[in-house]
Amino acid sequence: MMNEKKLSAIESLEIIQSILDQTKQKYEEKGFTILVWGSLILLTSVAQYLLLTTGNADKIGYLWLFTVVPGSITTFIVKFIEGAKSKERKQNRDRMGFIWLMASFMALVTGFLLQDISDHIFITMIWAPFCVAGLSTGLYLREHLLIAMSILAAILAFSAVFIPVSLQSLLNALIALVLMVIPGLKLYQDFKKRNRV
Amino acid sequence: MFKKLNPLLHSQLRLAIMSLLIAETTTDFSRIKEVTDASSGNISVQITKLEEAKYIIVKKTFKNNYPNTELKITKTGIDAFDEYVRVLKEYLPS
Repeated sequence: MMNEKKLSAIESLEIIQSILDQTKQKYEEKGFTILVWGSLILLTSVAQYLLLTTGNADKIGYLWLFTVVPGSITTFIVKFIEGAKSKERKQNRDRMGFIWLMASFMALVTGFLLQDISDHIFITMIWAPFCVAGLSTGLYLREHLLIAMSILAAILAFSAVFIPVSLQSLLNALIALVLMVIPGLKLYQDFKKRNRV
Repeated sequence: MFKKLNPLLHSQLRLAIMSLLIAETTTDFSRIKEVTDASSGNISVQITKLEEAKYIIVKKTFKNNYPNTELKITKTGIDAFDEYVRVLKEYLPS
């Protein structure tokens, strides 16, 4: 509990650090959701590649259903727990969450609009908003790993234009690993460390 | 000779409020209460002092029929905080 008292320089610094840590923690908590979605996309992309190479392309649609359903359920549960934790708060400012939500929405729209246009540009267009979301999160949290991974993911996403369609599922898996699994794991580990879970 | 620390910021709760605003740019009363665990009365007093110094802009609205106090840091506030941190560093052992 904070009261008025004379502060030393060290105490002042501790207050600033503690408040910044608390605001950072709010976003690190999201690492779990990013990790879950990234892992699901990675696994599905690898499975998609295996289905394509074994001549079972007709089952791919069902495969992505196994990504969307568990991913959405996890997101819903995490949001429910977050909501329960902050039920006394009348307002929940969550810019990073909003950016990721917008990226998901844009990817969804792009997926529907571009699915029949070009396989080469598909991955680039799907991942571009997520690269922006990842970069924004990295810059906000001043996490060099997240910034570097987002830039690398953007390069990989744009390289899809030059990669044969048969290998694009593997490229998709690689982008999910770089942009979501590794940063998600880092954020979640930081969150656990900070909370000593 | 060390420069004097800004007395308006060199207070536990006011410093916490300003740090929160530096991190989030805008915030509200309930968020400050959640982060600082201070009493509503104390927070109100400190907010008024920061507002009088033009470090923050306070906007009182209603949200879902509840009064909602929104706070936004000003350029003056950001500059004062930067200066405070700069002077604070001089006090810390290198």
